[in-house]
Amino acid sequence: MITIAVSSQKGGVGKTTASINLAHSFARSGRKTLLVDADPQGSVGLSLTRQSRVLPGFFDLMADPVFPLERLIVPTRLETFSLVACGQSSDYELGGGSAGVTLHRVREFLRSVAARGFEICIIDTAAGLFGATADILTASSAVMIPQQAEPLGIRSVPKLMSVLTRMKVVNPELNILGLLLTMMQPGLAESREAAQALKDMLPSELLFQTMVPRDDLFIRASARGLPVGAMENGAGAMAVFDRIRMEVEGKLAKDN
Amino acid sequence: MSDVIKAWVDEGEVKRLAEALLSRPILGEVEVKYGDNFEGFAEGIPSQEAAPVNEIRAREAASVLRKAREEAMHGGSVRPGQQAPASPFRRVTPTPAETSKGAGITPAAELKRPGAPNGNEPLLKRMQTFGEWLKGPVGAQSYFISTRNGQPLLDEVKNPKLVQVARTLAKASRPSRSKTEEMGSLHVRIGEHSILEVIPAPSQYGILILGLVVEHSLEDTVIREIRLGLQEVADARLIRP
Ligand SMILES: Nc1ncnc2c1ncn2[C@@H]1O[C@H](COP(=O)(O)OP(=O)(O)OP(=O)(O)O)[C@@H](O)[C@H]1O
Ligand SMILES: [Mg+2]
Repeated sequence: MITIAVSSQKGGVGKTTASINLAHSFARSGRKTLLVDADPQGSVGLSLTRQSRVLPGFFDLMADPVFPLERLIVPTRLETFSLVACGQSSDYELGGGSAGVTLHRVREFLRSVAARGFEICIIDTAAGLFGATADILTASSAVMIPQQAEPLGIRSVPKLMSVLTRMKVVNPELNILGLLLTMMQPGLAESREAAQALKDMLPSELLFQTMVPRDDLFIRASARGLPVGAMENGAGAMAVFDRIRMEVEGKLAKDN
Repeated sequence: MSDVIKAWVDEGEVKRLAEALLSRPILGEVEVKYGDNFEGFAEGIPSQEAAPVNEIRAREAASVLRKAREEAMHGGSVRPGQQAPASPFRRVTPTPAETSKGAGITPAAELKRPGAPNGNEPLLKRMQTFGEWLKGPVGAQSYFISTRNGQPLLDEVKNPKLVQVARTLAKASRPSRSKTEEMGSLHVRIGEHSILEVIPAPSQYGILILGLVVEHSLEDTVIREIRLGLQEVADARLIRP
């Protein structure tokens, strides 16, 4: 199983949007896919399912390792697509926690998910690359980093590079899929400049060629907790994530 | 690249970091394969007393250092007759102020490095004396000192992986002219109760890498004292009577 963490230092850069739509694209391509919400503040689309009550999820399992996984995996209308909600994180310290224990549980979780035949597991993480997210990155096979196409966002790139280097020290197998530019506005000079700056600075392997355009459809879709592909007129935006998915597949293939 | 962005990030620095990130040596050369069961390396880190400095060790170390110095001069980071350059390493993420409560540990605010030694004593002996300070007032569980290439000079930790981890971390935080952006801090959790602090220090032998196994990450002021202390130990001058 390939586990892709979708992470960034900054909040609101499009992690959840990228997670939902990338997972949806993998699932539609026929791969048995699990989307995990590991952001206590976030809300990966639960309307993909018919259930609306608060579901037990990932952090329940972190708090209580014998929590049965079957109760966490929520099927969707798409047979190949399942979700794990975030669950209760009240007694999980986001900033600290004893690294060893959580890491162990994340690994156990991923092992049992793999044992259930999932081929792809995409984890939407909270902003920041510490605490639970650091443990998730240590246990993952790959990481994708959404980056908003705006000049201010570029400031965090040097720090991001050194944090990733540290992650790679503890998890040498971690495939850095690269930065995914999001909310790109080709008509806006600042947006273009930000994209160009990243192209100038980063080796091409560290930057997705496909960029996610700014499109109100993403906002409407996320308000309903849906992948854009499930929206009326969503075909174009969905095609963007199909291209991103193919890039991911290429990167993963190259690594093996 | 637009001027605004240029003012914020050092393009060269990002390129270097990105290349370091992609470079295979982080994996292959270093052979850090923690694999599936990695949960820190706290176990297996003996904190035994360092072996006494005997003549053979000292000679070995001297030749390692001579080579390190030659390489550093060759690489331009040290010039003949030059005083050690100012530290190229910037301390990075501010660490939470954690005060250690262990016995004999000096609170961070009061911690001062020992006085600069003179060069009449052999280097390894000076390093060992410095190490006693690290394990006493600083509160380190154990430590090692290696050259920038990861060749250990003094190694109490006796875990070659950790020396290589330290080297990788030190490499990843290379000098930068940019003042605008902080880089990641130089420590990594290696076990439930231990952190490896990596403190590179410039010296006449090129960069020396000090690895400290500590319970809590160290404060910036402490790191600074340690770095200056190590520099003084390495660059001590002979004092002729
Ligand atoms: N390509 C896009 N075009 C327009 N709006 C977008 C796009 N991507 C995301 N958004 C909107 O921006 C907001 C933040 O996106 P999202 O929730 O995906 O970011 P996030 O990184 O997961 O945030 P957080 O760090 O808070 O979890 C949402 O309202 C979302 O609908
Ligand atoms: Mg989110």
